[in-house]
Amino acid sequence: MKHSFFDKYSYINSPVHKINPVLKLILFLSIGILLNIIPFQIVTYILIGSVTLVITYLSKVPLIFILKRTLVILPFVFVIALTNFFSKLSESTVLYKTFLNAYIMITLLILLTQTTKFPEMLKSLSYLRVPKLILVLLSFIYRYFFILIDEAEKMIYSAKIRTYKRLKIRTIGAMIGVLFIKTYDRSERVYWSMLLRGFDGKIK
Amino acid sequence: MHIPDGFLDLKTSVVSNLISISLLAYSIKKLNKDTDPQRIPLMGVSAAFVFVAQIISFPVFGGTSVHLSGGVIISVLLGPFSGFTIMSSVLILQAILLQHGGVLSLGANILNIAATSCFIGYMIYRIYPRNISAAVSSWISTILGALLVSAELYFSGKIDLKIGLISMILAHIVSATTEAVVTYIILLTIDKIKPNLRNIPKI
Repeated sequence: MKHSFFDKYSYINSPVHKINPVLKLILFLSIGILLNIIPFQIVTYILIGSVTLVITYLSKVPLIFILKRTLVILPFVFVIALTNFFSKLSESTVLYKTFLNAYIMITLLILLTQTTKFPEMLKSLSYLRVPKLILVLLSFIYRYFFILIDEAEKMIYSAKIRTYKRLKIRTIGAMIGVLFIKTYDRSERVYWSMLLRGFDGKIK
Repeated sequence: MHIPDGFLDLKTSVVSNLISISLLAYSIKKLNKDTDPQRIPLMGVSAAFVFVAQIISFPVFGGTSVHLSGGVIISVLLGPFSGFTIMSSVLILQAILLQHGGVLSLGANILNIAATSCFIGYMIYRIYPRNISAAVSSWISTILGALLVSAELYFSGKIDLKIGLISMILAHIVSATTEAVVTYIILLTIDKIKPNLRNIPKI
């Protein structure tokens, strides 16, 4: 089956892709902290926004893709707008500032992940002293996610063939239960093959 | 619900990050003491399982759909500390690859989703360890997560506490109920097909 990979655009060639991922991560975090500290001023936001636009242009990641992914912040903006509407507690600059901050941050995060290959991201995380166990789990997810989603898709497909109605919650729940059993069996096989290659229970 | 970057102020995100980092460090220390080498591949593939289970969506009334969080299931099956580590790494991957939740607000998201379901939910389950209490505890922990989200937004000075609480709880009631029902069904299925999977040592 066909999958769109998470870091779909990380293999194109652009100036942004060549920057060291550790540097990119640190820059991202410092912009996030900076946006929290500085007071609300139009000039600084125009500056940071235009820097974001320039990075977007240089990175060659399609604009439509970024715009679609930024939609996830909308429910939270909605809740804040609701507060603003119903109570006179907060002034409207809070809303604008939060919206702009969130929008800039999520655009930069999309750019960060789409311009870094996942193995390089893991390497930079290990450079930043993220515990080994977490890194192992992250790489396991990245490897086995596609296999497990294939199994889930096969189960859903074969259930859909056998019925003309929409699948019930009960059916999908039982499917996830079966998926866990398959997961356990697969982890046993993975363990045997790791043993075969000299795994002794320690993460290196 | 995953909080994106830019919604929490500096003090809230620093405090929540510190709390979740210390919880994570404690869990990893506990797990490192465990000598069973089979646990690492089991946890790794289970983390991929949680990632997949969160993508499968359940149709509810009105054409909308909800998805699982899976924290209670995985801690009932593998134990609270393994569950917490698995859920945290799933959240980290969702933040950096799918932009569900931010990087600076990662600590808050770990508290809302992983800590409530794996520690508080598991504690409730331990009081009366049956499948039905796992369902109840997943309902409670989802609602608790929603309460925590609105509390964090309130401490950041973004929302009014009353409106935030009401809207967050209303938004989460359907997904909490689905989570409870599905948790029960999953445990029932595992009991029926392969009951020895309930005997994995719980750490």
